Amino acid sequence: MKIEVFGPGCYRCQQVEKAVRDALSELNISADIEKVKDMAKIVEAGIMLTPGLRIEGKVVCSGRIPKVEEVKKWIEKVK
Amino acid sequence: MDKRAIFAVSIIILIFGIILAYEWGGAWKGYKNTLQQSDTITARLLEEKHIPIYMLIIVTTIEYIKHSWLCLLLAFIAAGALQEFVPKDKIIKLMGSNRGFVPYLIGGAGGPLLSMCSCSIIPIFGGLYKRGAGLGPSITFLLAAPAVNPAAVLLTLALLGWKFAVARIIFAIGAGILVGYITERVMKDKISAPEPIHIEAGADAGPEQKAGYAKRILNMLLYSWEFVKMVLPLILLGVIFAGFVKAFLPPAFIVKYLGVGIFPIMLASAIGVLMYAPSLVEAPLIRGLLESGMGTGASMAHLLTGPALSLPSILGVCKIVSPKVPVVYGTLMWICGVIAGLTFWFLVPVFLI
Repeated sequence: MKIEVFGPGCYRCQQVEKAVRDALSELNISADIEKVKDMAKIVEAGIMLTPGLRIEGKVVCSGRIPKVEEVKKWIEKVK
Repeated sequence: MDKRAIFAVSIIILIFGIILAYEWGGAWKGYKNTLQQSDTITARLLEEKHIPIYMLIIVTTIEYIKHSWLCLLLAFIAAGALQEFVPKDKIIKLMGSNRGFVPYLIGGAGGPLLSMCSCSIIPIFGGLYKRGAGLGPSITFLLAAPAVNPAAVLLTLALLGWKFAVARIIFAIGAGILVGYITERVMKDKISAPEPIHIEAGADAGPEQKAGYAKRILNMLLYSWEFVKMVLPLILLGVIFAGFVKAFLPPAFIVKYLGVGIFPIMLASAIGVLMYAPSLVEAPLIRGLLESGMGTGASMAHLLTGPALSLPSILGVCKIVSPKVPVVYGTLMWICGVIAGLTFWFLVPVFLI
């Protein structure tokens, strides 16, 4: 599974990454987590409000820090 | 970062370094003498209270916190409320779908509602531009949003007084609209329009949209707490840095380069365009400099260009549009900083708290 976290690397983006890692470890799933910091790529992905989260090519959340429960739901949906 | 950027940064550091090194020795020698005569607030503090110089850092920190804790608390609650209650997607859509002067107004006045963290502004700028909001309004947003966001205004109010706060709002929105408009006019024929891409605005409304008010207010406070954790260390850093400036930078040096007159305003404006400072750090820093003899005009110029522009932000924008664009709006913003500085200096010649 491919999970991408979009953001320039500020505090909020780290929180999103943490939520994703927590969700993965609670579900006992392994996935590639990629942190996308390049502005051009963030814009290309169609994310305007960082931090953004994309799972398997689909933007599931942007502009806020999702809760671990939400991330678990999204991951289970595409599994 | 590419090689050209590193080269540019090194050149700038070198130039500032030479000026600093050259002046430091001379100004430092006359430091003690200047203190006796100088009329700056720092000098008076040192004389009246008989405190050693290194204690200034601690005294400054305590004094600034006493001044600003209430406004800071309000600022954090306001930030949380913006995050929870403002429909960001709607503002973005509004900016993209109108023509003429309206998008400029929304960019200048509505932009601050969208974002608190200055690092998250470039993707919004990129998204607006690629969705066809127009180069001008996108730039207006990029320049006005960081300077006028509610937390920055409240902190300015607490530490620098209402004159600075009001002037800051007016100048930032005015300069943002002006610079955006002129840049669009200048660059219109020189760069090609962006290829429209599909942007999934509203990909996620979030579950809290449907929640009841009690739940939403709780969410708001949670967001406020997030902001406290994110921003408070930076503000403390700014306050401590202001203390260092007051303790170790000779007032004679500040008066000479950042005092009154046109040259200090031009210099302060230029530093603001190039230097990166995290949002909200500028208010305590400027207060520290003002107390050591910085002119009001130079302070205003720096407050206007400082948060709006920085070398890292310019480099980020270069990845989205042609590098000519940031050069044009950077220069225009510098001129606006000088004009704003001169105007404010004329209206408010002396800093009094």
